[in-house]
Amino acid sequence: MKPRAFRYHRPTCRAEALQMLAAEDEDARVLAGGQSLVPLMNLRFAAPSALVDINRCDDLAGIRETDGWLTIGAAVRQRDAELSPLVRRRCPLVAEALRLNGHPATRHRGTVGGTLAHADPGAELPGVAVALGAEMVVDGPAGERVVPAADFFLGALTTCLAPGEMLVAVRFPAVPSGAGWALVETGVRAHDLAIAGVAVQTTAGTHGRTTRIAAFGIAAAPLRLPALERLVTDLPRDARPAGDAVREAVDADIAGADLLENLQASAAYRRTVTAALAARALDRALAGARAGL
Amino acid sequence: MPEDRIAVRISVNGVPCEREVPPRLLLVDFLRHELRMTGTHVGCAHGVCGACTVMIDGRTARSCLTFAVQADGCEIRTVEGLAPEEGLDPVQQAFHEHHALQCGYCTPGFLMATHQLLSETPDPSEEEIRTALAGNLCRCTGYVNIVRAVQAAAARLAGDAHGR
Repeated sequence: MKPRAFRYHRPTCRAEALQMLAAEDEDARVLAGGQSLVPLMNLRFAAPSALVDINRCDDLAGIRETDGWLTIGAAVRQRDAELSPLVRRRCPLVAEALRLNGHPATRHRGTVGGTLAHADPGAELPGVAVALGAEMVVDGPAGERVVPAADFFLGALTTCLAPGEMLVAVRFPAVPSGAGWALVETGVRAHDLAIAGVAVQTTAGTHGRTTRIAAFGIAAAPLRLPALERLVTDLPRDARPAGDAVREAVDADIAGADLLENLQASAAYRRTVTAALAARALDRALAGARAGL
Repeated sequence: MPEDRIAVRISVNGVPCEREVPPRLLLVDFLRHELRMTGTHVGCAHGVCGACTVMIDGRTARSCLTFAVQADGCEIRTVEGLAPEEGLDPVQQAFHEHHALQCGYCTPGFLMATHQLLSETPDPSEEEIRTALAGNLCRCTGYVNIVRAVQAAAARLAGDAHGR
């Protein structure tokens, strides 16, 4: 058999799952869709001592909207969230990220919480979470805490989750009316993990424009692009940012970042392509925002 | 250390199967080694190639990324469950007629992914076909004949639906 032997627990609710996780040693892992964890186990890059399988915890599998936030349970299947009319209407950027995340056969099993907690640098949803300022709901032995997405992702396959803790839900702010958004990425084949990607959401409100942008796939964790956000926010109405200005802003934003360098792409390529993807994403988002007014 | 064994009840192509399995047994190995149903192939065993695609409760999934214990209580459909008693089902027939396979190793996965696509999108564009099958790798055909076969299967199923 391919994976190493492990102890298997199958709780039927969140409280029971947390109890079982807390009772295990620190090499125990949560098993949700398994679309990222099981490949690592089959290759024996990961060898958890125990798995707590949350697939039967129905109280982790709901989607609901309250007070302008959309809360998606950690065990919601990616395909279900992608096709959910509520998610499409209230968080279109989340639905788009999921559409681009893997293939139907992996999205049927893979979960929203799984792709976030796995924290692969090339995954789309962590980038969207950081761009939109999502809130990660974490529960564990010390009780529930809410972590801003920007503080959740610490590095490649590394989050702030402590042993015994579990991501139980993620909250995304609902899209403001008239907002434009876009997610543009490049990878080796369609729907693979991204070599580089940019997520944008921009709104022209009565108090001026609000823009949130993050890049993913280029560093160990998603990066907010504040200089580029300022450039867009300061644009006159109906104006488009100049290509040179976008490139300069992106360069400034990622100047201090340790860009990934691997077989798929060099750091220099990632720098260049991020600016190009950002320009494309901004074009689409701004066009969408104008159309939405 | 003796391994735990867990009782599972899994319906495969409508036939209920009960076994006691170690938690680390993958669904694809359950099908192949426990049930001796070797139609589902193991390609990469880490979710990249799609050769092991089956349906779990009516939706495609990688059987190399699912433990058999997770399929407890589920309905599994494999390539063995596609054809009627005699002959081939319309998707298999189209793959055969359009020479959409050479070595055939990847074919079970392509057939399952094609069924998924056509159940949701009965008249897919070429781009929709290529996107839906992007998670399945074929090292022989170059995909052109696979796309043609899916188009032909879609047309045949649409014709059947109209009683022709």
